[in-house]
Amino acid sequence: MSRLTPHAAWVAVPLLLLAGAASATQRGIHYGEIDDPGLVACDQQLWEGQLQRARACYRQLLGKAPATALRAELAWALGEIKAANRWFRQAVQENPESAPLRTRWGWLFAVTHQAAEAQALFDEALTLDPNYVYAKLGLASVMAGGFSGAASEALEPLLTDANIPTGAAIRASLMKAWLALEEGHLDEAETLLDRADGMLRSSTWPRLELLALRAAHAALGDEPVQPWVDEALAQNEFFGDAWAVPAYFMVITRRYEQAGQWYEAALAVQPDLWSARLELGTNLLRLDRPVEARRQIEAAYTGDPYNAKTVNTLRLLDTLDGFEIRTLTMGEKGMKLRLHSEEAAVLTPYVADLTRRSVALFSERYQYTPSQPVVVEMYPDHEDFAVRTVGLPGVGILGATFGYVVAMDSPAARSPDDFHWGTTLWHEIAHIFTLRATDHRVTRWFSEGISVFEEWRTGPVPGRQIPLVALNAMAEGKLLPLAQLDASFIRPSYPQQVIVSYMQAGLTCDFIEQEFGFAPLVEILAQYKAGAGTRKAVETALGITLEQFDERFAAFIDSEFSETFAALTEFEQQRGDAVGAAREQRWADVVEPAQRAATLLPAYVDADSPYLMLARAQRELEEPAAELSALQAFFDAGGRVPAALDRLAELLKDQGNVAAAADVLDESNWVAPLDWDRHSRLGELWLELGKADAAVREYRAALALNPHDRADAHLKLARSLNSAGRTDEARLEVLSALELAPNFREAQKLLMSLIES
Amino acid sequence: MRLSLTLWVVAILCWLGFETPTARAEIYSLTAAGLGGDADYDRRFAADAERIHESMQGSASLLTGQGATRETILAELDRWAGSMTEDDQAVVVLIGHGSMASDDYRFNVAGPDLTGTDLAAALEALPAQRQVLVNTTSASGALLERLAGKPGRVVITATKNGRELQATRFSSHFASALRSPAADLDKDRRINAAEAFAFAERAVADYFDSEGLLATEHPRQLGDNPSSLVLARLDDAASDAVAPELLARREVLNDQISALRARRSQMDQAEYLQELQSLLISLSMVSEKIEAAGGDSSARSGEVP
Repeated sequence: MSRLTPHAAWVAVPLLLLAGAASATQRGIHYGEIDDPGLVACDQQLWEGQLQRARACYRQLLGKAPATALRAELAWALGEIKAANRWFRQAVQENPESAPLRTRWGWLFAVTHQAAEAQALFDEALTLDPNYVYAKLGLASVMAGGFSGAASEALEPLLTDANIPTGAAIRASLMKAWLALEEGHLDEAETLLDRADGMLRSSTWPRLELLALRAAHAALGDEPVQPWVDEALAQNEFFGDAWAVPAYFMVITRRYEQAGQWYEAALAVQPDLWSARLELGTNLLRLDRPVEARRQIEAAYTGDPYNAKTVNTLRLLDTLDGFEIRTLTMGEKGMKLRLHSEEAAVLTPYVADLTRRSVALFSERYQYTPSQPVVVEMYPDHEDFAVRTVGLPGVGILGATFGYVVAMDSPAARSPDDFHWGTTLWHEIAHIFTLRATDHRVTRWFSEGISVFEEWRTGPVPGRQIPLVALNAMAEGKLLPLAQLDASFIRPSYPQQVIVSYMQAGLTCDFIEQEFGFAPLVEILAQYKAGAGTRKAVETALGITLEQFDERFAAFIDSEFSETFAALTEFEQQRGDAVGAAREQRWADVVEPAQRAATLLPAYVDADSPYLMLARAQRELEEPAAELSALQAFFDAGGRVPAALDRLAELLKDQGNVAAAADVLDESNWVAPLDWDRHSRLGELWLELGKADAAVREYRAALALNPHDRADAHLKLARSLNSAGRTDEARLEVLSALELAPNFREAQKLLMSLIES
Repeated sequence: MRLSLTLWVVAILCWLGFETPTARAEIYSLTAAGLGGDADYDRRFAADAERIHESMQGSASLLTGQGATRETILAELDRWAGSMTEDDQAVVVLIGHGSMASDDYRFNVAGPDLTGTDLAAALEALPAQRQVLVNTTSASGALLERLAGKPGRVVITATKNGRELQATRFSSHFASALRSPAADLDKDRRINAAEAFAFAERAVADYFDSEGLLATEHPRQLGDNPSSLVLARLDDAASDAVAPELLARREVLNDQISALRARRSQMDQAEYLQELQSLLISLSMVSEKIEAAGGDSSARSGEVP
């Protein structure tokens, strides 16, 4: 479960089975793509689990000085990947017009995790022969690995084309079944698997991949997987994917413990199934078992050094050596924070505070108490977090939750102008409850919906925050029927659809609470735990059909947002006018359009909010009261741009409203807690208000951020500790100040005062 | 924790055992601003040079614009050699544009450029054992390792090497450091070389960070004990009314604190804190007396007049 940036990018996760390889670097089942009888005979032995005989067979063929293309296949079959690549290159040079040859070379790249090169070769093959179906399948596989919604569209015509070879039709059915399983469409998957099975039974191709998918289908339907696994292993006792494929589907449905057991089972029958070993290691990280994880991932690297995920994750594990682990109290089970050593001292109190508050609140609301310690990891380098989450950099998510483990960007990883880390942590902690309260059976849409809903309802910045892109999509009628919402998280059909789906999910929960009360939300969780799908869960909890739900939800959206939708065009126009005037520093001309834009969309509080343009204009026009008013409206609407909050606090303080200024700066901690000066200013305000303990927290944070003047920071902390009556701690701090600056007269005076008292 | 009676006795004994002040050394400083290439840079360089020159202690010289040439700069350094002793301190500050050409650093002044070779030879000829070269120009990092090797010499540059060729901002922040209480990290009302560098380095980094720009200069400092080289005072010298023995006593206590800090890693933490507290109480009492006598209770004496 994850929280997205407004510009999220989905990542490619290789679907090894669909790529035609039972194990990374292995050739897998080619379903008629190769017709050399000698090679197919060797392959048949491999597929039957006669590994030694198969290898001998390949070697024997190699000894007969075969043609270059066959030599490439044989090198590949024998695990000599670099040699295979060389032979394919030579074969293509010898026969540049061959679409099948380029397609096979493309598969070699696909199974060695080089999707771009694979796609280029499949494209070249289709240029040579637009009807070459195996290249179409290759391209669909690459699309599926990139979580593109186009994969399904590419496969559709192949499912109904009676003229394509049977092997290709089988593969198309299996691939489409895989996609259907990923999207949770079990009935559709079963139909496709039945279709594939029918064709397989009258062919010479093994049923191994079909059986693995049958096992996955059973697992997702809470049926026993063992019969299917047994049948597959009876055909090939070394076919680890019989376990690894259902394990993959357990991972994507967040059932990590089950996945781990099945990956171990896969490796027991096929120790060189390197993809499974990597996934096992990654899964152990999700379960907060980094030592065992490293062992598995290092082993995976020795067998498959081509996998970027493996290399990245090993590097990440090295990075984790620079993190501190802090175990803190919280309820019965406590919490564990894994924070970078340069941030741990400053972030710990804030992370612990928010974690305690959210866990206490959600325990009560969702009637579930964590039975293990909650683990929070925060990464100052976003790419480390991305690797932690999916093994690859370039992911547009902010946080992810794996059972009891929350991993997320630290405040240092992103600009505070558009990253409210407190809200992200709140969102992720909510996932712990929806996942654990349902034994990880909750659907993605509902878990994300509850997390977004809780952001709005109980989070650090309450109130609906809906990005413009989502408002525009809603205005264009792009919200989905509830039954289709889950699939849109996996394979979005248009850019930014995932963002829209997050908002729809949050609004759905909001709607349920408003129309039916809070209890049905808890009931839906109970239904998921009992194994219900969305239809049954929603219909049971709400007493209406899913279709009725969709109708009422559409009416709710209309009543809540029709005015907003109508205002969108004018908002953009007014905001554009304000931006234009501001660019030319015509400050008086900024005021009216900015005011109008803020009125049209009062909840829009991004960094380019009209409130901030208005405040800037009023400042330039030397109208401090109007500036304060604009900034206060921005703050009240949920705006948390740190520079704006600094200015608001300054104006409030100038007005003599110290308490309000302190409250505003205090909110900055959930956005930008890594600024020592802001902590110091807030500490000063708290001291002025007589809140010595709050001042201590801020001055400690300031000190942890290595301020330029450390002696002064120690003195300030000493003063706040003294005010809080903690004189022994105060004396130690003042000694620290004087250790750095022995002649620091103010510190000397405090020391003497403490000693004399 | 309160002080034990024993520690009070130790404090009083420390207080009685003062030493006489050391002989005061002379500071020679030269601030030179080279050619800006346009009116804006000319003004900026001259203004920074003026601010730095005004903050400098002791015998201070200023050369700017057309008056700052290779000949005048070398002549001034040559003049120092006639009166300077090895106990004195030499401070040379260069402001302007620098470059690398023919494998040597060049400070862009009217007429022939002053080269790194020129500077090396002139500094080498100075009798003063303690020397500070503050080169705030572009490409100044080229001199860092070349000139910092001599014991007692500290070299501060605006750039990390000779390849950072953009005009720098360092000189402006360095000038501010010499007048800013925020730069006075040890609160002795004086700005030493380490403090001035730390202030300016952070200010440069903050500038690029706040503007969202890729940093084009990375200040560096190399050499022995830069915190012992005082460049500027934040206020006037101590009142003549303060008894010399009080000032001397303060110096002794400061030295004892420094020595204690140096031994910290070999000591038990509680024992260290007790000794530290004892010395700091003594120092606080001396400071109070100095303050009562109308002197600067923070400023240490000894290094500069």
